[in-house]
Amino acid sequence: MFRGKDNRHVVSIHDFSKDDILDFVDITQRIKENHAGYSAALKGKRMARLFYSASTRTFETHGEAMRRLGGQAELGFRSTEGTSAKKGESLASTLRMYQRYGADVIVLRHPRDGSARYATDIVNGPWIINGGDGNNEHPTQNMMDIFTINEKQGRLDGLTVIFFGDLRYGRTTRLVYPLSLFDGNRFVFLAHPAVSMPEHVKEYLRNRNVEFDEFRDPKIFPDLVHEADIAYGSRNQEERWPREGTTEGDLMRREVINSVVLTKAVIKRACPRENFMVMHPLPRDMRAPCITDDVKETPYCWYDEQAENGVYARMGILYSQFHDWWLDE
Amino acid sequence: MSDKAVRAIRFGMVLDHIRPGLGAVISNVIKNRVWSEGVTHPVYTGEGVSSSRMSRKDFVKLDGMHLELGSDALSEIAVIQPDVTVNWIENGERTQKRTARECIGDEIHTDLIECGNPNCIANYEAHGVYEVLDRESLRVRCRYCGTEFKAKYNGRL
Repeated sequence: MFRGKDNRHVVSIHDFSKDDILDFVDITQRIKENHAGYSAALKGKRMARLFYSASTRTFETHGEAMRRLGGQAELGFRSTEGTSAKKGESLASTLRMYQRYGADVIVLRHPRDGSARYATDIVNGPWIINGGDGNNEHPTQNMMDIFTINEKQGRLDGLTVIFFGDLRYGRTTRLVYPLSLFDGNRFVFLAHPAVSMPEHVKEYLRNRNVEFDEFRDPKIFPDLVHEADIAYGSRNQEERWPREGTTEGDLMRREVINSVVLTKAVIKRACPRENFMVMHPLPRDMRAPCITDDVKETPYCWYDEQAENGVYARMGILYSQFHDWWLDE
Repeated sequence: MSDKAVRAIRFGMVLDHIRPGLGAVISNVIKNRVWSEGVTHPVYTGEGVSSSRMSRKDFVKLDGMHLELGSDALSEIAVIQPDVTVNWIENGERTQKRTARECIGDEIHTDLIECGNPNCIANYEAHGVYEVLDRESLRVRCRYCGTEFKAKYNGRL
């Protein structure tokens, strides 16, 4: 899964090949089926979670994954409140400190793009896991989504995937990158133009001859769902939008919120395929959800399973950082 | 620059056709890069010298050592002004001449560029590291956030 012993950081989904991803799915499945068998796999290893931005699931699942593998996850903080970051301490200084405290792996969530890659230049010893760097990447979320898709669909190729909601500021829709490594996958982007899929992502797909279509009119949603295997929602990332009170920020809040919403009625009209699944990285913003509550009443809602798989996926990643299981076989 | 000025150095570098005002900046780049390694070869700066090609120009001479092709110093000079003429001098004769643009390495380590992504850590805390994608257009990719953009001198130094 990792190509060498000297680099087992998890910074970008681009660092993983198709074979790496298949290895990851393999070990995660084995762990999920028999997690008791791995309960001492990371005994004596310590995780530090340095979270400069808010998180529920990414923070908790990494800690829970470490504990289930027999390691410790007491080091770190889940908010900069009360830390020396508030006194102006640099990220580099904080990273070096946690290295000195004995962290074997550091999960970093930071508001600046590129902070996780930068962290790999600073530390010497602990592996870095990118828990989300600004608007940039969230690779472990992409990996758990891949695992969930494979679990439900039984394959990672030949899929039609709709991405809808805030595709511009949402990191998790970068799931297109690993999925584009597999043959025959087709993507559909449905979003208000202000939050459409970024041009560099579309350029990436064009350069690799990966098929995609782009729509902005929500009226087409049932037709898209009818032909899709997966609909993946991304909440409005208002915390990353231009500020409220600015012309652009106010316009976005007026026009984007509630512009594309998946409802039970949309699904009913669509008559989806039997294998259709609705995914969402959570949290859903209950003030203006891109997926309404009543979707839960359909048999297609998979985001609770997706969230649960967050623990197993992170167990698979952590286990692979410290064990060369794929070399032994 | 006159031939006499070039001949005045037996072994070293002459950076010529520098836009007026940038000579001191380029001199500082060399001092920061070379002197920080414990070497103190003399660096001379000429400012506002008359030139047939560009009316007025600056020049910088580094006496006693050569900068390597692809070095951080030459890459930074290329960012500041890509068409600076870089001359290598041995035994008082010019042995090689290139534009600064042709001297850029595969990677530039510098704080003289702002990453094209305003939210990148390189614009706040990290020292910038950029992979050079195209020397002619100075297109680079940020090591940290992956953003591709055209490198532009940010006016520091």
